[in-house]
Amino acid sequence: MVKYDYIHADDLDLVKRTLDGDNKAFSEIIRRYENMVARTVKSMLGDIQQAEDIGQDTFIRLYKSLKDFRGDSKLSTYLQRIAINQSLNEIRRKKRFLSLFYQSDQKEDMTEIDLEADNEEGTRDIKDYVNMAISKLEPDFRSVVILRTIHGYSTKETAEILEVPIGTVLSRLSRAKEQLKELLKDLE
Amino acid sequence: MKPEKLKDLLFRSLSSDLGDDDREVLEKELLIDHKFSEGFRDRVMRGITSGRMLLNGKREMLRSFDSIFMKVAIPGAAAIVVLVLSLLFSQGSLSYDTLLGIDSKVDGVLVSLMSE
Repeated sequence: MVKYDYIHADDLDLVKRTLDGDNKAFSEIIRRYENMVARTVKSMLGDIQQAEDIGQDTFIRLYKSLKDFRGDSKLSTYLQRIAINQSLNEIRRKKRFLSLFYQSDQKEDMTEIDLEADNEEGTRDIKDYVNMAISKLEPDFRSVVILRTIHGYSTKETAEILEVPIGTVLSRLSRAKEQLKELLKDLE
Repeated sequence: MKPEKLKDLLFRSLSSDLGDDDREVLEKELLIDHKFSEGFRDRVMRGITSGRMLLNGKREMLRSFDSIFMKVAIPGAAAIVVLVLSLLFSQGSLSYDTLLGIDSKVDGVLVSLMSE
């Protein structure tokens, strides 16, 4: 009997096999997209334990919703959408929790990054500053920057993942760019 | 590459599609390659095959409970304290003097203790 070649199977085939109860097929889906999801949720939430939990939730949610996946979009697009939504939900949940203890009119810390203070540690390089700046963006702006810059999606694909019009993506990108310019103005 | 050029590359990546070379520089110089910890795939699969999905559902429920509880618990506790204090005041079981520790009974105890 010929063994099924999971490594070279296409995504839709793996989805079908998962729905037929083949857990190895879903394990292969995780192997393919684990790093993609890690990049998304850790860029959205930071490299913290919750990011691992949200990563797990993302795949579990995918597993639960596979029966609704019709293959109209790529599996990766569908998964990215879940990862972004899970991350945004986590950010909102945290914000709601924190709003109980802090005044709601306190804006998020959008001040420029303190290069002097960070330099004292002597460990930060330009990578850290850029990623820190991205993490300081408002969540909606952060998600478009992550999809566009970190994953290299086109504006159209970004709009498809976020389920918003292209114009919204363009306007968020433009505002994110302004915020990043402000945050990184001292980096020379 | 100088930070100024890298910044320019970052901003360009937001407004236009980068070529392969620029993309490579961006990934190498500016982006952190995040990964999940060792055994991530096994943990997810274990969760799926051993009923973790139920636990996950519970975790989501606990999260929403957590949020609702905090919203209700703090004002609720404050309301209970105010209610108890107002009842005690209205029935005369508690007075401002008692709260400040200058109740006559307390004075008496203190005097007897000091005179011993």
